[in-house]
Parts: sequence; structure tokens; C-alpha cells
Amino acid sequence: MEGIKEKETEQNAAVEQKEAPSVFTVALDIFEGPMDLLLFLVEQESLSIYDIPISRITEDFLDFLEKIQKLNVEVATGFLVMSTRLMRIKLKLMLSITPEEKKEAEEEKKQLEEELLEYKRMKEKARFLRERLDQRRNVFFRSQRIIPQDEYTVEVSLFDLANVFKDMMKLASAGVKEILEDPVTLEEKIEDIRNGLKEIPEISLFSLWNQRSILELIVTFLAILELIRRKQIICFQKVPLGEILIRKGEKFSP
Amino acid sequence: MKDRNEAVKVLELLIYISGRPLAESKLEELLELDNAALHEIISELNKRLEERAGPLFLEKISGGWQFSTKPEYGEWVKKFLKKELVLHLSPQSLEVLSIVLYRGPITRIEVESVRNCDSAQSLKTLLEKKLIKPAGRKMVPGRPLLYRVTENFYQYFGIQDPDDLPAWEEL
Repeated sequence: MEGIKEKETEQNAAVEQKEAPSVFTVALDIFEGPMDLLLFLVEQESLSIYDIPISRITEDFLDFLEKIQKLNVEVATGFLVMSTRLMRIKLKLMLSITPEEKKEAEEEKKQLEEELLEYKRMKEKARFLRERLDQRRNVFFRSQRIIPQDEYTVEVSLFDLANVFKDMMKLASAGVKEILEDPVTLEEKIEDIRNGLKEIPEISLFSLWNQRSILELIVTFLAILELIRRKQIICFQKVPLGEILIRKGEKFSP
Repeated sequence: MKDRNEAVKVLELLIYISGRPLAESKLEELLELDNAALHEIISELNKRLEERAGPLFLEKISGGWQFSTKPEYGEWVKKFLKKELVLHLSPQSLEVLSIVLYRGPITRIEVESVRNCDSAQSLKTLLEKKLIKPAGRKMVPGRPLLYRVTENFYQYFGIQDPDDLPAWEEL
């Protein structure tokens, strides 16, 4: 168990360099989970991962747990589960009499070995990624568009507009009970929107839906379509699927 | 594009302007070239860059092309950006990342069953650093989220082609 001691000391030093919270959390920190400890024990003694001497490993594993428990460390459940598993396999191997029992025990052992192998593979790939990352430490690349976000606009299609209109009608019809005669004309609405744009450069389409009646809502929508046709306004989004905004178009006349 | 000399320049322009690795299919479409012709143009650009001996090099990242800085000029980039931009990842996060890379799309529980310990925090870190992303849900009870690596990941780790990764079984 000398290896573990060394590892603990190393880790102690590392932790103290940081903030030294509690020296005793260390031993478990270094073995992240029971697989980690198991793999360490197997590799420390240069044992074959394909045929673990269960009895020896179980002993080592329990030794380690006992040691850290003496340090008043609360052992994560995973470690306890693993020690139970090890002991069960060990007992089954020892006590199995019939060929079926023996086979079952062997299978359970094999399952553990496979899991351990999978774990080792994962460790290996993590090491590969670490090396990769280290090689790339000083390599940079462009990761964003040079076009500033606020000038990046997405054209809105008629389909998008129709969808918004449909949603708005749904909302509006829920709150309105009676359609009254409405004096608002298309020309008036167009002027309204144009006046709005003279004061504010960008108007949210959503804010225009706040109307008194369904008829007025429809007139507003028609006004927007008419203004788009006359190229007096442009509907756009700052990001795909973002809020639809309107602004002055190329033929907007004061 | 007929004029080869011009095509090399336009290729450089397009890769420069794109904020992310530019896919070969996209380049073929833009330059109106077939794949073989595109590759010729790419190697020509590569040659010119080498002759120029500038701070940038052309590299392939998961099927697309981008300019990257030569490592020896990294210090200047850091100086310009005034901060350490180096990606820091804990050993745990790297383990989780390797599982997501090889076994993704994969759920948190599946990641944890390989590592035999809690991996929620690492997954969160990797999501924040945009190295992994949700990729739908698994059709099992609870409909857990599946995770996979992002294009960002390939850029950061300089992986040209996922097929070039060492095999999982390799030890």
C-alpha cells in the first residue's frame, strides 16, 4: 500500500497549495469513485485486468477503506457498494460447489473486469484529450463572425408575418366579445405607423398589436403589408427566430 | 470558377470571413468547383501560405477549413485579448468529455455508469464551455437528455476528422 501513501502525500501538497480545506477529504478526492481505486490497485501491483485475483484485490480494497475511515473520512457510498460487490464475488468463488454456481461466480467476476476495462479505456481517452489540449494551448482561431451582432439581420418572410398575425388574432379573439363599428381606415393606420417610425427607428411588431378591436388589428396588419409593398418599411429580426421589428425602408418619405 | 489564381484568393477570403470551419460542400457550392478541383485550390492556398511564412496556417476541423494561429504566436493573441483564454478542464471533466465523444449521444446516467461516480457537475461545466450540447432525449422512462460533443469541441482539440480519433478499444 506504499503507492497510495505517496499518492496521498502528493495530493495533500496539491490541496495545500490551493486552499487547504480539509486534508482528510484528500484520499477520496484522488480516487474519484471506486473504479478509480480498483484500477489503481490492479495497476499498482501489475496485475492483469483480464483476470483479477479477486481475493487479493478485495483485501487491498478493504485495507484502503479501513485506512481512510480511520482518518474519519466519510466514505462515499459507491466505495462501500464496490467493496460489497468484491466480497460477494470472492465468497461466491470460494463457496461455489456445483458447476452452475461456479459459472455464475465467474460471470460476475467477468462483468466486473469488463467494467474495469471500459473504465481504463475511458481514462486512456481522457489522457489523449489532455495531450491534444496541451498541444493546442497556443493555437487560436476565429470563433465568431466579424459582422457585429446588432447589424446582423434576418429577413422576415411573409410566412413569418402571417404566423405572427395568426397568433395575435388568437390572443385578441379571446378577449373581445363584440365587434363594434370601427372608424379606423387603412390610410390612417399607415400614417400612424409612419409617424411612429419618424420618432423611433425600430418598432416592435408586437407593440402594434395592442389594438382596441379585431378589425383594427386586421387593418394594422394590412397597413404593414401595404408599407412593405411600397418599400417604406422593412421587417427584420436581429437573430433567427427573434422578435420581429420594423424600420424605415428605402422608399420611406418623411 | 475558372480562374484558378482568383479561386485561390476567393477561397482565402471565404475562410477568413467565416467564423467557423467552412465545410467543403459549402466551398464547392460557393466556388462552383467539384471536390477534386477544390482540393487542388486548397493545396495551392496552403502552398502560398507556407511561402508567405505568416502567423496563420490552414487547418481542417471536422470536415471544414479554418485559419488558426501558429502556436508560437499564441502569446500575442493572449496579450491582445488581455486574458488567459486557455481552456481549463479538470481530469473529471476530461473523462466525461471522452465518454460523450466516444459514446455520445449518451445520457448522464450512462456516463456515470462508466465512471461509476457522479458526473453532473462535469457535464454542467462542459455545457457551459460549449464543448457538449444536448442532442434530444432518450426514449426511456424519464426521457433523459442525451449529450454529444459540439463543433467547438473539434476546434478546441484540433480534431480534423472524428474518424481519425484513436479507437475506443485501443489502450
